[in-house]
Amino acid sequence: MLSSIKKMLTLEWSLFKLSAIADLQVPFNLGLQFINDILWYSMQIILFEALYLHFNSLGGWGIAEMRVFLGVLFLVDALQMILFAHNFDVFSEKIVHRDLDLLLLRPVSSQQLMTAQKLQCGFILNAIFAASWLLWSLSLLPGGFPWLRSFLIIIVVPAALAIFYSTRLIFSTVALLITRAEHFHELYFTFFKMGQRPDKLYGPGIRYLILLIIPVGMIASFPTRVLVDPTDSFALPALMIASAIFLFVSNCFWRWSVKRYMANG
Amino acid sequence: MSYVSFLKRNLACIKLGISTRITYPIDFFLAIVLIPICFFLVEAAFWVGLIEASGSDQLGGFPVSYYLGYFLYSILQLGSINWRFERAMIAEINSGAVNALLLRPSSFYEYHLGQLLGQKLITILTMTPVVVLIAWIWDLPFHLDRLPLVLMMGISYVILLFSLHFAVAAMAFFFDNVYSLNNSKNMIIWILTGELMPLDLLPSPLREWVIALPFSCGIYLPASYLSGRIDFNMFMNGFISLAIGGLVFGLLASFIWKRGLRHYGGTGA
Repeated sequence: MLSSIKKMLTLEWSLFKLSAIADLQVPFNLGLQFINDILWYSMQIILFEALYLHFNSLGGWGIAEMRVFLGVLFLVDALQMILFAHNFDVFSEKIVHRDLDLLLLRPVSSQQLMTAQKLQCGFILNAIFAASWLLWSLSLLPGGFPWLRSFLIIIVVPAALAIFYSTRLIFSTVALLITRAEHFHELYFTFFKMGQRPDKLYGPGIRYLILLIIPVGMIASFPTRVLVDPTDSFALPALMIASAIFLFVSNCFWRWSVKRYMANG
Repeated sequence: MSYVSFLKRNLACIKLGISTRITYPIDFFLAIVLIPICFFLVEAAFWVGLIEASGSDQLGGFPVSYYLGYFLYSILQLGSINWRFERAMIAEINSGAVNALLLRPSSFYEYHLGQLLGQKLITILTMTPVVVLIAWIWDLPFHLDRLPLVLMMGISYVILLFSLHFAVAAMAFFFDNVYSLNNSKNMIIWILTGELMPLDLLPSPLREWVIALPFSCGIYLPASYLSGRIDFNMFMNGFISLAIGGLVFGLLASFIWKRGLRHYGGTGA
């Protein structure tokens, strides 16, 4: 188990170096990628800053807590942009071009090569920006923020990232089962849009959907709850359990789909 | 005679756009029906939840039904960005597939605009009854008599925006990778159309500036007029900004395309 994890990490480090060399050859593109994500951050900031001009509190959160929520969202998003976003963007295209067939012949995890082969190193700048925003917003929390709790970031952010990864993998894997699956990608982002807003804003039915069935609601809301509310003893274990379960389920679905793909083509 | 052939070839492009859209039934259902309805439901859930969570009945002077009526327009997809379509145009220039189109009697602009309009037309035909049905079932503020004018603005906006997309795609004649530039443009348009939120929620004077731009004709003006959020005069002002924007983007697209073609003829993309 440990040796296979070590093998995966070594391979990922090599892929990172290769991707960094490729990315640095187009520096203009790197700059634009950074700006694009900053524009996306600005959209989210404008939305909530404008809404808080009309309200003082939303679902028990003031503007300070909402800024922490946005910080978590930006950080998780920036990390997924670095690690696997591009691979999922071209996932169906790769399946159509039969790239998976070659990957299945290699002595490493086909799932890793399909979902984390090309890293986007330009987004490291965005991750730094997002982390700075998160720390700044934590410092503005009413009543202060005990900085010892900031170690929780290194637990909750990877857990949220695991949920992001596994939910995207489940939607993308559909491409192995049907002819044209590009729109499943868009469908995922429609659902993910609900995860870009705090789960407490939704009614019980929708919360059930985005927390238990397609847990995009856990990606930013639960880490924020862990950080801003020390009395919330439910959020952290729920997040950890959900991330483990969904990683397992997505891996099972991937392996089943690959088997079916190898049998039928 | 040339006018007739112009019409015939553009009609052929529109038909091609429609047939491309309906070739794969699952793809068609997802792209035209399911995803836009899901998008609307996601927005509806958010705005209903938001107003309930605030403990108030209204936001910006309007009750929740006006927000649902506003986002209903997004189902028609006249103001939304078509990322795949733009990427295809850029890819055709990058890969040299544009050569085949340059040899044809129709232009690259006509060929792609015709297809885009075809896709939008089949979307309107399919989804307008759905929009009316949702408005009727949920008893949303929806002025059916305003729909023809709103659709006219929507289609004009599609043509205006296409000129801008075309201008950015033509930049591929000069640069190896314009996908990120295209994404930047789309992000900015996304903010300015009102797809994120009704533009009247923005603080003044930013609100007035953004509404005066032609991009507000993408979502904000038609959606607000259809749901009764704004009056006739404000809506009609949108056509003025559309005309000015159309002229500016049209000239820009023509300039970049001609320069690009000259560059391409000399050195290749």
